[in-house]
Amino acid sequence: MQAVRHTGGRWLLAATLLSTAHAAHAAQVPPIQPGEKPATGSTEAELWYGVDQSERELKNAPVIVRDPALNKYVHDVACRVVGEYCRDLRVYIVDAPQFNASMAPNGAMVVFTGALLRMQDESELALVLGHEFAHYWQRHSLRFWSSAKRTSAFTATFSVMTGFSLAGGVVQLLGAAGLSGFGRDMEREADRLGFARATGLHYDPQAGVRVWKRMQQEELANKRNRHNSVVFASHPRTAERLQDVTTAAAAANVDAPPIDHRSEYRAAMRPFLARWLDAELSRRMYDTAIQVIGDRKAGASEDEAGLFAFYLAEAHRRRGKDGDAATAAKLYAEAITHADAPAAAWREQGHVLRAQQQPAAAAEAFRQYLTRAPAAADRAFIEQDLKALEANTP
Amino acid sequence: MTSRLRFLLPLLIVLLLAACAPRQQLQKAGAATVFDMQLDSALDWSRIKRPRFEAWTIDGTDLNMLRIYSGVKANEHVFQTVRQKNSRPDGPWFKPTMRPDEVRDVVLDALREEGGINVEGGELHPQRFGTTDGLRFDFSMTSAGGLEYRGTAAAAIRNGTLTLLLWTAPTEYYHGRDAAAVGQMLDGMKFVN
Repeated sequence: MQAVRHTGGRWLLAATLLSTAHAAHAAQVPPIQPGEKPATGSTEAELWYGVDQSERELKNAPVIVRDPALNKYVHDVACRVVGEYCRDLRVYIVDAPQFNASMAPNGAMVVFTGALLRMQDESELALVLGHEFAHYWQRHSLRFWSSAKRTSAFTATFSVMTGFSLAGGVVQLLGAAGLSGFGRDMEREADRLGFARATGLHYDPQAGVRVWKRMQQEELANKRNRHNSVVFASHPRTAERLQDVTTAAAAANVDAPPIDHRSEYRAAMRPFLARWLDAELSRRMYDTAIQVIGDRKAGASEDEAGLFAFYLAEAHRRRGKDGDAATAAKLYAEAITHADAPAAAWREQGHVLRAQQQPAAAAEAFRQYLTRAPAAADRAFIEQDLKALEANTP
Repeated sequence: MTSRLRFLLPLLIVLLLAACAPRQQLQKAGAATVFDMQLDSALDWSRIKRPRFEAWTIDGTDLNMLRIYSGVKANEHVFQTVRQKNSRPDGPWFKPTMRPDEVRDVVLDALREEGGINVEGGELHPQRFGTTDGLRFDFSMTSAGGLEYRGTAAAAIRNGTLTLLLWTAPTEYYHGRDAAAVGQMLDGMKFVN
């Protein structure tokens, strides 16, 4: 699974190498068995050795989210999906706003917080984790390694593909040129097997349709992609994968009510939403942020409604295109009607009212902000604004 | 390309590179003029100069660095690396209409873009630099390798451009050693013309 946008030629190189590697070796590599480790001295052992070093660094990296409850929840879902392989997998949550997840050949699975923000229920998470597990299960890294390791470009390409370096060190986990996936054929195989794993546990077959539709909408919203459209040339296009998953979902044999564990998923993610939404805005990709946050707002429950209204307003305000200020103003006004609205919603409401020449109402909104956030970092500036407004209030 | 141009091009490139090459000098404690600012420091620094940017350090840039950006233009990266364009619409671009909290946020986002992890803003307050209103804020972050840093910044928008002074040092030892002196230096910054 990967949705991070890529630039430059590395991805194209990887895809070229992968297409030949896969054709030559796909039939010769059996799936890995539960508990199986590479034989000493084997090619696979060589592969694992490098990635193990990388994983040791990842464990101590500051980007790792260490919250026990969140880790337990994601790990438990992963274990349900991978079943008898649970003991062979380690799941790492990386604090990065992109929609991404990856799988190393030694069983290290990585999920970005940007993916957790975008997904809306457990069936979607199960599908994504099932997809990543399929890369491990089918030894996709080994297939690639067996064919391409003698090429000079291999080491760099492998790092791009998995996010792990063979010489130790975690590479590219944060960059927009990060994980590039395993190439067209292997990604489609992982889609198919991940879907079977998740739906085999009665997770909602429509989860993949939702995930890929959302991804497609985000891609369409991303202006930068329009200038770099060639970079996805060798990867199954989102539309193609959406078509595949739609067909598979329609054909799925649903013999019991599908489960999505929506409330469980949302309860697990709720404590982190504000932080992840801040991170989403910090990318300054506002067209994309409006798509992502708007999608979450549309499906928000009451205890999330103020939060998503506020952050959607922020995305519009910061983008600053024609009509954005008015949209933001409406959304701030909406946000503060909900109990979960962040204190900053009142501050922004104050700025809106001040711009609308309503000094008394603006001052009251600023007072509300300071009451709700007494330790606000920008308190000195707001007090300055308040003083000026009070001086202008009859 | 004509043969004359082909001959002159390497020379031109050498001249351009020489013009852009950073110059380094020792900056003893006391008053110093930096672009259109006057800074008064109680510390000795090594001062690396570029046309609109200077880096000051005492023990090496990983251990303490004061970055001074002068004349950041509208739609330019706050660290002057690139400019906004159609094919690069998203980024920490400076806008002259930014509020103080937006100036803080764009600087913190630029630090994140550089690879800073867990970048968090601290107290933000107004500060007058001579006759120019500006802002001061603190921040903390972690490097990709796990080293924890703290820092402080001063910024002002003047004649539509941004002046930014950004000091960072590892939390362990170096920040505590120099934070008071650097804070005093930034608080006392004045524009001189």
